[in-house]
Amino acid sequence: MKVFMPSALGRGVRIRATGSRLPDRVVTNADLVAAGAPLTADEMFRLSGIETRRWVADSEATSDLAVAACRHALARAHVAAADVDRLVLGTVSPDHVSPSAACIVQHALGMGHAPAFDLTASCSGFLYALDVAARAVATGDRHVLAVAADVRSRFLDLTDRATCALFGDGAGAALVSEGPVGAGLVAIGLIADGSGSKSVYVPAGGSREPASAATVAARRHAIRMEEGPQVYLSAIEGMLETAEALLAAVGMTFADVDLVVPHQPNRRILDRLAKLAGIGPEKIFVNVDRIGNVSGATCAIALDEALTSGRARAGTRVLLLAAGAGYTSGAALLVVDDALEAASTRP
Amino acid sequence: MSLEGDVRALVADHAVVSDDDAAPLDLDSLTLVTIVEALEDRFAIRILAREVVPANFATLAAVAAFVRARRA
Repeated sequence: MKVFMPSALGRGVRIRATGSRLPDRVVTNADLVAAGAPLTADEMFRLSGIETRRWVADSEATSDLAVAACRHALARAHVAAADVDRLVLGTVSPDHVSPSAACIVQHALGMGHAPAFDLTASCSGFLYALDVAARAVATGDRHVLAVAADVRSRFLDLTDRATCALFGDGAGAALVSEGPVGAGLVAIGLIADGSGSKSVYVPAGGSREPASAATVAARRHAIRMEEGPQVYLSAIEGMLETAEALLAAVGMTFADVDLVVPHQPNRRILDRLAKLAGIGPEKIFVNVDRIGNVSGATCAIALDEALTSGRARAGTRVLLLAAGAGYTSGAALLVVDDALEAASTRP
Repeated sequence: MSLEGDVRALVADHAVVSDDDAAPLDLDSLTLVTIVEALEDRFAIRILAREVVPANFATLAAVAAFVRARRA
């Protein structure tokens, strides 16, 4: 894995502020059972550690959540949208097949003609967006919005045991800006392994299997997890592999990390990750019990909550980790600075 | 107890097993993950995603052979 360190270019990149948006509707395991899910509420909790997740209202879409998360981050940073040079949106559930949800967000925010685009990296979406943002700032952009947003509730088959209880909706954003060399976002690295491209996927609706009455009838527009055990184990292996490579590149180990903020596929994966990494529960941020797996947005929302709750303060060395369909994975080392801590205290 | 007996007892804690070690195991994905983690704990091994394939988990005999090979 190639690790990008802005300091290698003589540049510094920081996260100025974060923001997030969760839909108002709280969906319990009992709600899913009532809707026809083939597991009991107790089974859902035992297998995933998830008690509730948030789902959008009928009138909401991915860009609405992304706009709210970006406004949250911008307000906390006291930066105007017009001063943002670029917007990168990680999502696998854009409002439309085309154009990008990023363009809808860019217009809603009032970013003038600043470039905006979606990228698809599934549950690694935020870290992929953060990587692009860091490179853009390191090569001259002033401010870049790295946002991840997903509405997976629109792509669920509630009769599918493997996926019915896992997913929620939400968005998280980070305003990425220039900072002191060697501080802030110290390093970031990504991996992709396309051998897993059909392990978790939405079969229909693309150019391979266009939408038709038959694809709708067969529920081919819903998330399919056809190799569950491999997906489960691959997610952990992806996060561990990227974490260890990134930490080695900066001369650190898990012992040097103050807080791991991982993607939250389910509670069992987080427990296994902590066990294999040799870290205690106090070192890993968990919110999957309350909001479920929000795909690419998960890591961004978790970072925002870690900062807002005070789990991550100035000086805290945060290891961001994600792994998802594709397969994709990523890791980043962030040292929280005073400005980010201060921004996180703002509503 | 033999390794084969240990494996049988462990799998039987999570799934219905036949008396025949060569009979197909009918494991759904969630049960399979649970068994993988239990095997790791019981036998102090690490099982990778690429190893969770029918060749290693289709029957009790296959599971026992896999565990034996990993412990070697």
